[in-house]
Amino acid sequence: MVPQDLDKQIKEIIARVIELDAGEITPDADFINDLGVDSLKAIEITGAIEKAFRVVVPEEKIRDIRTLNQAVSLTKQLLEAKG
Amino acid sequence: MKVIWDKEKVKSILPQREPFLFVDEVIELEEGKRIVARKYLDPELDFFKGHFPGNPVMPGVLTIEAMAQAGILVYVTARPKIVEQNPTYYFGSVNAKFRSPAHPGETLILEAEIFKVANFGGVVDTKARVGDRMVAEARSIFAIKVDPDSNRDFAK
Repeated sequence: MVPQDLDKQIKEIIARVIELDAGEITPDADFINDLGVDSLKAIEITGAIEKAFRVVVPEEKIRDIRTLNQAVSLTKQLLEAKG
Repeated sequence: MKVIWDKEKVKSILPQREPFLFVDEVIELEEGKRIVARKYLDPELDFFKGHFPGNPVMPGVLTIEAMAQAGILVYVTARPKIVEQNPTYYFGSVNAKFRSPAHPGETLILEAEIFKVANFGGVVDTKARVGDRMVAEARSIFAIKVDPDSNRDFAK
């Protein structure tokens, strides 16, 4: 089941991991190019999302998680696939 | 306590060597999840002479290094084939808290648990303790680069 506030939850997870204020994370801001985040943080973000929503992110998708929108979209797909 | 990976096995995985090898052996192992390793803090180790004269304690940065090395070992339990590719491990970031000092003659117990791994890096949470006393905790994030043309032999 996809939570109604999935965007908000993911934003808060990302903000906590990358240690930025949630307000600075706009939907299409690129973590690396716009927010100055190390590319390895994508692994940590992925792990945090997996634990929060009990999903498994395919490894080949990890480096695709570059924006909030991409993180939300992928998480939604995985939750919908779970049923 | 039963040794699961002895020093030779540890050296077949870790690229570090003395005097910068901070894991002696692995005593617990859950593949892909968690290991417990240990390092005896020999009073003759050089850094104790200067840190500090008359009051030797394990430097925090070396405790972090020990935790990072334990992190590599637990990573390898999730990605065993990586060792065959002569990887180089690079620290990305570490978030550490120090709780109490470790002293010469004590044995550092390093409990490393995988948070998330990928073929290009990993996030590992590690606790270092002496007996039941917590010494430090850290989340380490590291990158892995493989060089198939490397002629390094980590088994030496």
